[in-house]
Amino acid sequence: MTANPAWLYYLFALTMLAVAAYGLVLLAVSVALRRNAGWDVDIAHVFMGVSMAGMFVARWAFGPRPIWELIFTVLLVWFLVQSIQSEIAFGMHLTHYLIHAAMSFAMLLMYVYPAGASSGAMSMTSPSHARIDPGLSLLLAVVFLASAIFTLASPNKGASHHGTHSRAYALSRAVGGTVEAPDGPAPAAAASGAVGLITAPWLEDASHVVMAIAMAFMLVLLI
Amino acid sequence: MSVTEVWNGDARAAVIDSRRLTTGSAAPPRDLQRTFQLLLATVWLLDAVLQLQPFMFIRGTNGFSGMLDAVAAGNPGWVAHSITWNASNVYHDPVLSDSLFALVQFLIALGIVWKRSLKPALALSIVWSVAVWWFGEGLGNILHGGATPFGGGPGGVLFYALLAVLLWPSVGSDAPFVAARTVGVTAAKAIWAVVWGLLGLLAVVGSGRSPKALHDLVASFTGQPGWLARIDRATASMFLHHGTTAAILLAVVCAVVAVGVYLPPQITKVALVLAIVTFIFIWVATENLGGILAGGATDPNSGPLVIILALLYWPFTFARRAARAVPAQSTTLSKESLLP
Repeated sequence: MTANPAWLYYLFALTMLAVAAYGLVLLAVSVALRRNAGWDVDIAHVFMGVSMAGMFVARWAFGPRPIWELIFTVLLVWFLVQSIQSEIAFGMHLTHYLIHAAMSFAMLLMYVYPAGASSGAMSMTSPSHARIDPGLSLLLAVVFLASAIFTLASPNKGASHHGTHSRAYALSRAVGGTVEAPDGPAPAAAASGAVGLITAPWLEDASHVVMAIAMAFMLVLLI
Repeated sequence: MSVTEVWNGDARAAVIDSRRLTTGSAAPPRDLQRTFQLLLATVWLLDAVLQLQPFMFIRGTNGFSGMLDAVAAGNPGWVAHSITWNASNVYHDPVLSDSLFALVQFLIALGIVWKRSLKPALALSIVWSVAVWWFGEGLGNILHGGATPFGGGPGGVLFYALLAVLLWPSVGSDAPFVAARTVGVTAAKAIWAVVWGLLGLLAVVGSGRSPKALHDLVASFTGQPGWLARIDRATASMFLHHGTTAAILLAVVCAVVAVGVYLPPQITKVALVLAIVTFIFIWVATENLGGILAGGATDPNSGPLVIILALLYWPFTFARRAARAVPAQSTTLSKESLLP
């Protein structure tokens, strides 16, 4: 059973599946084009999208909870390590890996403390009465909503997937400068047609924005 | 790729592969007005998401219509009638009306993000805020003397409208502070003085200075998480024993903050810090983060908005220093460009 109004939860679930499907396609294109940036975010979006679709609509949930917990733990560790590496390489700054780490952490919390979700997302009911602290839920929700807004407004399109340290993005910012060709193809510049659309930075950002808003909504339901 | 990082005054810049990239362009300083517009959009987006909570779609006293109906109490007849009329409309079709309310707030949030729709979105946010203040907050309880700032008076949603006015887009610099960019220094300072003067007044009129009323304001919160409930008990006890003193103290703080913007910048900063600390306390201890953690709120109340308002008056200077400090003959990614 899904909370009222059912169409709202189906809408969110379908959107999550669309984000997951897009992440999968993007991953395939990345492999074909040998793009070496953003694939970890694509993988995360595939898992998060499929998982959250099952949270919004109980019948669409599948797989044992420990497996999902393991997946999001691995993603959390991966993004934390990437964040640390980025801090070491570029000094103290707000790396885009941190928001993906936070999202992985939120997903993990939703599985570890599922009881509170019973009011909204029916698939997560369990005999456990442990609840995620509502303050932490709210904090994460606000962070994700801020990420959605600032990603939409950012002039660095695609930064939610690739960050601003990626060579292609660094080069694209050098307007009017003398630029030598990088060793590998630039993510969006090298593609055209359908592939160009799929790898369009604004579409990559859109998938992150949708995921962030849906996750914030799920966290509000956890309160 | 080799990376060299340098510090330039307050702005940290990463010079990326200077052997490959050369250009004469320097990163511009952050547009602070735009940053605050996006913060306002974030709050609107939070409101939109809160509007989608399951109980908001329910008919009856536990639903959205019941919440609206309750704010009519204590208001003059003609105001109360308008509020109950609106509540009855929501009661008849809670799913449609709540969906529309959420949609409007999504439109405002996303409208602020896109520069082309920024002005219509800010205009809509002003109109919507005033409508919500009337129909959803019962004019902030002003008309029956219950609009103490400890409880969010004169209505948290009014600050959305005020921020929309102060953040109306305009070209120019953020000096001496962001709030002055659109309306000018004199008008911005006058607005500040009026707002804090009103807050100070509301702190000591009506039930605002009543220990019992202040105690009940906090004691009425239910369903809060343990840590917040403990804070509530301490605050309720403090109000019961020192409620009048607390109200007078708040009024004095508001008066000091009100005149603070007319004083030298260093003292202004102290006044702004006082304002921010005061409203952090109010937001947590007496507004209970707008009641969001109890699962029955549609907005975070006035606390975060007053804090944003105070930041609009902060004499930011680092952006200008950074702009002077960035060298002209290297390609740089400024600190803000490093954000995800």
